[in-house]
Amino acid sequence: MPSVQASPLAAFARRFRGAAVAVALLSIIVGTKRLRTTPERVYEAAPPPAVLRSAPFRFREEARDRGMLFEHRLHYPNPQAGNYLPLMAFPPALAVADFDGDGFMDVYVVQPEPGQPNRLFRNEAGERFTDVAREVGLDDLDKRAPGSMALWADLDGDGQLDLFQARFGCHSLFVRDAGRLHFTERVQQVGRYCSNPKAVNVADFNRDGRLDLVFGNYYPATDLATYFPFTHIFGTAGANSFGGGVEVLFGTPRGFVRAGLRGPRAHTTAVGISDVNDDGWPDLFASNDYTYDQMLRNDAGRGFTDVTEETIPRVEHGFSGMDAEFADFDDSGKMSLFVSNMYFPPFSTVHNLLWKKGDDGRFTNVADEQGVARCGWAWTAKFADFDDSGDLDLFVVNGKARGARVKTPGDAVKSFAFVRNTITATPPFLREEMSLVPDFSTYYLSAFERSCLFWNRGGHFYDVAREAGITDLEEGQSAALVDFDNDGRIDVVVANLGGPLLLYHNVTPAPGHWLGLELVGPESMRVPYGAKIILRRADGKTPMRELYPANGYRGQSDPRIHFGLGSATGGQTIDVRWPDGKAETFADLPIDRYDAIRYGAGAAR
Amino acid sequence: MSWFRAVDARWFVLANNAILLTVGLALFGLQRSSLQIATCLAATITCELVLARLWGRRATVGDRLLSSATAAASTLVLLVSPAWWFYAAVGVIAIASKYLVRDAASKHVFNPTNFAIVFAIAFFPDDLLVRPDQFSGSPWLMAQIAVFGVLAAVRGARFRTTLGYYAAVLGFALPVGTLLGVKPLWILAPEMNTSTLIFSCLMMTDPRTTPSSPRGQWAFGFATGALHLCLRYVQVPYSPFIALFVVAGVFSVRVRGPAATPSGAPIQTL
Repeated sequence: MPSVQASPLAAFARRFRGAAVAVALLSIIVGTKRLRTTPERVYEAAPPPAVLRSAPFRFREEARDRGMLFEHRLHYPNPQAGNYLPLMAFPPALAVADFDGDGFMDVYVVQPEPGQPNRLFRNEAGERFTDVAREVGLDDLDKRAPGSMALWADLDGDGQLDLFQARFGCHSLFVRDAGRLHFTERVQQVGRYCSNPKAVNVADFNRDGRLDLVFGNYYPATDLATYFPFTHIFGTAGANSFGGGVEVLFGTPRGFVRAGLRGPRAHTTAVGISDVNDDGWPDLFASNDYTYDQMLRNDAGRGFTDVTEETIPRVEHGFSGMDAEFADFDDSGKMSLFVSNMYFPPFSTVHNLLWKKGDDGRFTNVADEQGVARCGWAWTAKFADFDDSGDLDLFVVNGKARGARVKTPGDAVKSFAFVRNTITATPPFLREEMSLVPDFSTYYLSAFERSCLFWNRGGHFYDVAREAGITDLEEGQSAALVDFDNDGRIDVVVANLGGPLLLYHNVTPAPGHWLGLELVGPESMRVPYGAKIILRRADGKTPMRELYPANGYRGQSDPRIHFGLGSATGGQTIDVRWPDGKAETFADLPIDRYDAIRYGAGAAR
Repeated sequence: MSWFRAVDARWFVLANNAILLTVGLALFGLQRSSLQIATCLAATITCELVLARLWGRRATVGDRLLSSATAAASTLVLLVSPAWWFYAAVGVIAIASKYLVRDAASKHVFNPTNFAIVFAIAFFPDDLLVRPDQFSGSPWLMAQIAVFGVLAAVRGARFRTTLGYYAAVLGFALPVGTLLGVKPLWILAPEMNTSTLIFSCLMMTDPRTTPSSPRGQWAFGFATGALHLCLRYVQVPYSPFIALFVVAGVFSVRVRGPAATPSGAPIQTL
């Protein structure tokens, strides 16, 4: 199409063609608010009206009414943090278990600031909660270092639940005293291991009958009182190995010893455990900030091999992985993996990832087509069947930080996203100067976001949080699932950054039937972490659960296994593969209540 | 320096971006899959050859290949997206813009990669990731870009646009910093980022889309820098690229004259 002799009009048009194109494209950008940064485009769900009308869930926030009074305090030990405290503060953490064995789940809450008590909310028969942390010796655990995360597990093999307290520093085990409801610290049990984790999880990785620990160390093993992350954490996205990385400690009769795991020292935020390759050995997935996530294959208890390249497409990692939640969300009999990420356009359009496992063992991201790709700056994600319909739904908490003077959404007029982006774009050797950074107190970053409650409606997810009664706009950091009143409707506890603890009581009307299982392992492992449970449904589907309640980000959930059954009635049959490989079938299980499933009591397979 | 005069400036751009891409993949965990690289190159080169034939351009196949490979490499280095189709689509848009948006002197108005970036912001915002830190940790790479940038700018006789840009940035750093309540270094530091260096040294020195007169180059560079800082003041991401896009559109209204390249060498096209 060679040029032709132009008329005056054509010449005029040609002369202004460039400017016209520029105006047109800019009009689209401005008109669609593509680059609007202040106020931020807070994530808001927009499911079709028909979906909203038929959404089944109803939740009521009842923390205060039921006695769960807790307010997270912002703390970071380096005084340089100054006005940046909301951005850098250690988040709260949750651990749910029936620590006193009364049949009702209790909730432990970690307050990271030294000198401020943790809380142990004992469940009073599903009615109220009472803080008993002081009387059982679990209140002031963080005299020496800020608390990071707590984990209920029988780590000394005496058949009683202990509490593992991870710190930003050296960690401790609090073992249950014989004959009384009290806990005593045992530092030497942890082999004097010190690190800076944001995640701790538990499994029997070498199948020796003793529980092992895995740490997701976000920061390097350094004194955080002199460590200012802004100068270290950005730069060379994708190859950032200035974090602490994953560390595994094997349980032995003399306490815990390092497994000698080698890998990049990433900023690990969460560690998920699942038998990914179905060989009976628990494998690991580490969600990392600023670099690639990691899939680590368990080599029959001898160590771990990084198989990320073989299992997950390199190009789709978000570099801001915040959670690692395994679940059989589509009843395929295979565990898929949800990794939450940061989505606050236009500065971060990293979507959440939902990795679906294929027959060849490779994972494909289906988050977009399933409808769970966006949920603001997302943290803890937990799958559960909230309406007992038979399909797993997904709860995700989100939000990052607000400055001290930003109290309400009306105060949120200065987004920190641009400043953060500028820091990211600045060469590291120029970030050292703290005075470069403006005062954060009047800024906010991904604040006032509503948590997401993704309803699994016939295989596609829709966020119906607002309609379900998820009302708060706090910066949710960690969440744990708990059926505190044992009614088969899964409730949610949410711990917020610089905010109150929330208890979302599930009051969904007309839920389906359900099957509740408390797995009781052999004497050496009362809670059989890693047990695999498959329900044989009448429709031929075989939904699967794995018992790893501490998967994900900073929230250990109710260890009981829960299946929604919908309209199905009558006795149910399950297959259980225990952590030691023993396989049993349990038939004719009663529904709509919790029952104990004991190791060795089923029919051998 | 006869060798220097014989080298097309685009070779410096291509070499710089190819090294960045290779080093990034090998050492910096750059997120570009083989599929993305292959489809981007294939789509961009094919689009260039097809459109050149349709439009009856007389340039050699070698020249077309160099032009399209340069655009593909720039796209692959500057933009980040997990979508497999993204780089191919953006590459095609970059090349198509050269043929579809031309001024009265029959020169393309926008630097192709710059046009493609703005197009992607408008139409694929959810597939475009902001990753200014993907190389920013390495002073070696910054030095590399600066060296290749100077070579390309001098060879393309457009170094005044870069100087004009930095004159504006330096001049506006103090007032904009004051308005934002930060030190001027806060404004200047991101200009050393690899993406911005590629922009200032290798993209806005494109002879086809910048004025040929020295005064015009100064004005073009200064206007781009000033607008970029204004956009930064109102916190617009991708501000350099949008500023260059706007300024190129405005300057295209004036007939810019032939590209001034020494000894009549082929013009640079990023």
